[in-house]
Amino acid sequence: MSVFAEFKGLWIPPNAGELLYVNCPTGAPDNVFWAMVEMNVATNDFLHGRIPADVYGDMLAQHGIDPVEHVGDAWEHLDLLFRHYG
Amino acid sequence: MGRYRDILRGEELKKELDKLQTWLGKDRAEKQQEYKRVAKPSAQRVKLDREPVLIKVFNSANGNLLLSGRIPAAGQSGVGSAVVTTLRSVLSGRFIASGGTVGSTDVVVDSVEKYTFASLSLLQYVSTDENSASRITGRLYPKNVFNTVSGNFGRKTDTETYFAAVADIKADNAFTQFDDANDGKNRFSFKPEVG
Repeated sequence: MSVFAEFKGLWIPPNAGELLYVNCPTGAPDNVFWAMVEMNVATNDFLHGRIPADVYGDMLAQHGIDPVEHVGDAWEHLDLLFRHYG
Repeated sequence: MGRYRDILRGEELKKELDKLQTWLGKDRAEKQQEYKRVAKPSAQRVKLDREPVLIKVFNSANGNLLLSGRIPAAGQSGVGSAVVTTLRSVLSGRFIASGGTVGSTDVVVDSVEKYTFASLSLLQYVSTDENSASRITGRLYPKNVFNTVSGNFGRKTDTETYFAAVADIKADNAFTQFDDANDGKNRFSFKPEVG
């Protein structure tokens, strides 16, 4: 949680990627480890327009993450922030 | 047309939809209360002191750009302090502490707008709440509680890439020990730099 600043009970990330980055269990095989690393790089690329949404979504789906649900959670949080403090 | 098994779940899904719509219909204050309810209690959160350091960024023309950053300070006590020790050990050599030696060809800059350092987050498993209720659906689900500590890192040499740095950290003894601890319940995340 150290990457977040607490503001009136809501967590605000200094970097939008914080809402989309994935983590990895310890002891995971190498392919899972590197998938985590590559997905977080892809998150940055997606957020900065270097890869299109469908490519990012396909990449998430390839690694077993539902893209709509994954991005939806982040969007819901941002939407709440915008409505409250925007 | 849905499949037969989808139709069979229709009644159940309708109730789920009603709960979701109830959530969507809540006002700001009500939603805020629900977020607070599922958030980790303040006393159990990791609260860190951070110290100023210099970090050699990955994305620079000549590979010798050092930016001012902050990482968790040494010698802390309280929630998450053991993870801080591990993190500092894993990232040693990837930051220059205050008063440390800067290379003769290195360029030091205080800050670059909209730049975010690459970082490593270590999530140390604490416990599992088996009956945590979703703020939206009310469904019970097991929720893991972690002490999370994040630290920025940069390259060790002027030519090291982000992926090479990650591989180097992965092979580090302190990281390996963290990887082996807690029966695989710890987690970690590498986040690339932005900018």
